[in-house]
Amino acid sequence: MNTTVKPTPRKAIKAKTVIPKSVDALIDRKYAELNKKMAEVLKNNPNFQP
Amino acid sequence: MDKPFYEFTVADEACTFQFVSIGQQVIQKCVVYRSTSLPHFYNLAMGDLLPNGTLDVEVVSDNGDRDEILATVIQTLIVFLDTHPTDFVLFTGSSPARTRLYQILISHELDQAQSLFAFWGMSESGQLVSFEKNKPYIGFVVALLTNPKKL
Repeated sequence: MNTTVKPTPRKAIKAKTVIPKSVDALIDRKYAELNKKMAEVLKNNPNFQP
Repeated sequence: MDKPFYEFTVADEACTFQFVSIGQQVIQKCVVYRSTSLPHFYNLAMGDLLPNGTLDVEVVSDNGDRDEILATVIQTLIVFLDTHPTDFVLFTGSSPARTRLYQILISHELDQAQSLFAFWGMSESGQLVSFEKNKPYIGFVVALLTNPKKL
């Protein structure tokens, strides 16, 4: 195990990791409620400036 | 934040990270930061890369190296937010127990991490508040302290 990070330079990586649609759907389901609550927070928070 | 972590690769504009978990088994792991319909908000997901190229985000590997894996995820968070300095990461655990684990982890790291990150917790009722130790949350938001956008 390494104890220091050596991230590969982003430009050096050409291939895009393919995240299957099924995984997208799982992530969507997992975060549906939390994202909805976050949307309400943003709606009610006038100080947030996207 | 100073704990041992696995070396990882960065791809897709620092939205996808891969590393190898070495415990009882050798497991290829992937951390994904996925944009949401909320501007500047990303969700965090982690899973095992399967031989067929798909990602299992529901697996519980129990590989005996939890601390190293969590430390690695924190390092990916640092790289992600360094690349996306005006964005926020909204995340939760895959189960209440895992969410509780993240809460404990943030509590442990809070003193040191506060110099770099801002943390918020989402209550069950949907209130977003500055993270406080020993309070239950259903999810968390993290951003760089220098993020010009404010919650």
